[in-house]
Amino acid sequence: MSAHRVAASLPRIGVTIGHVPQKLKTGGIEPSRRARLEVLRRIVTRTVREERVELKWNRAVEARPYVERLIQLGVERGPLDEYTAEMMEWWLLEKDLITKMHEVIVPRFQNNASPFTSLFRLPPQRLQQFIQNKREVWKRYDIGVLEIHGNPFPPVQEESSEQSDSILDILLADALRNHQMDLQERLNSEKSK
Amino acid sequence: MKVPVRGLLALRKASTAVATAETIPPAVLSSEFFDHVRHQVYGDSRKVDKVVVTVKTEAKDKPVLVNRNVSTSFHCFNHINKQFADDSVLVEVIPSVGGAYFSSVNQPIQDQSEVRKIGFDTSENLNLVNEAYWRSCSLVTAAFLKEALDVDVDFGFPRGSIQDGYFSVAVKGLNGNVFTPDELSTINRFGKSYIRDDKAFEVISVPKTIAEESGINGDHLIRIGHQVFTTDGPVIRSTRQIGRFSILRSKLTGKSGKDVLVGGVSIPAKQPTSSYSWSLIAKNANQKFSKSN
Repeated sequence: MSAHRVAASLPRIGVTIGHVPQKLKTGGIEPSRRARLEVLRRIVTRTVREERVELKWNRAVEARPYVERLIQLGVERGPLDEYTAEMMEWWLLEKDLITKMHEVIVPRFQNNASPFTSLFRLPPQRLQQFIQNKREVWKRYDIGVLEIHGNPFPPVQEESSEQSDSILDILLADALRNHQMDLQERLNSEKSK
Repeated sequence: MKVPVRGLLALRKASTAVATAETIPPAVLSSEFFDHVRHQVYGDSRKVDKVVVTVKTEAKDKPVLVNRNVSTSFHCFNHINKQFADDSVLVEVIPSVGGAYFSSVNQPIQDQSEVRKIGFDTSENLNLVNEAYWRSCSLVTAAFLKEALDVDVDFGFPRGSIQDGYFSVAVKGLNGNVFTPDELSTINRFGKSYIRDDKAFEVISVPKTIAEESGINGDHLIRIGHQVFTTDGPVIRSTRQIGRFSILRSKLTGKSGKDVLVGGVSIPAKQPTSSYSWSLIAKNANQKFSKSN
């Protein structure tokens, strides 16, 4: 793979790339250098399939740049490019997703700048890991939501509604205004002394 | 032409005599009186007619079959879901005959109509919601003061707005005794437990003729728990919708100087805020209430 050569000619992706390698071990995958990529490509496949996925936070952080780069390749190079085809072939385990990528996701971002994905942090969840000798082992996980922009789901973050006439806003605005005036008066009286 | 002083006095005497003969004494507002007026306005609740009420939501309109003069908009909203009903503060009623009007959620529906929920998060009609909330806070204050005080008191509700920064209730019958800080703290504790009890605001819209006959001074009769008051506009659904609430102080008011004005401030439960913001609001309300005439 000529990753260095290709990456140099592509614009920088619009997401942060973590500098601390995350441990992504998974049961069923033999630990090796390859295992990490296997985990990541499963996540990338799932993200392209579902367009919004809930993952452990560290996996979501790690997988996001790969999803970004894959979409960017589609946008910048198109389906006929050899390197892009090779990347799509490898990263998307289910082959119908290559069609989806080129026909559904990439056209969505033709006139858009990176980032093409969003990452949200959910409150930590306490989940059962396994049961050993009737002993339940629970662990606390940080959860992230990785999504591709323009997905059909409702927004993760509620749009802030215009509430400037709400009781709280009226009372608080008045209180802050008077508080500010009090402070100003106190400051002026101290200056005059 | 000058009117002789004696003649003027005689005229005034005569006019007051006529006035006293025509005036109906104000009604004694009790829970039994509330039931009596409800019977007068809505008839016998055992004989019920069914009407179709359409609940308008953002997604779709849902027709529901309810009891005329018995069921309220709250009952209709419960057909959508409980959360939807609990969040309702006021309701816009569009009757099949006549013009649309805004009413309390707990007011019985009198005819076939369409109803639309108005909540604290509704962008339209926020002023109405704010007015209703402020009015309700005054009424709740009067309700728990009446339960808390062992003397027989009467209440007046001065017109106030959110922009004043505080709401107030005039208490008549305390003979000029304002509440001490200790008493206020006890009243606040009692008030908070009273509010937490989720007491519904039962509402009757009283027609003018019945109001005049019964000596009701207002167009709405409100019952909170066992306490009944008259007011001139819609109120919120339940005390559970009241969030942070504080009675700040009391001072003397009125021409006689014997009435006590109790001031307080509150924000809805649906609009939570930090303790710091609340302390600023309470301090500001306290200052404005103290400075007001």
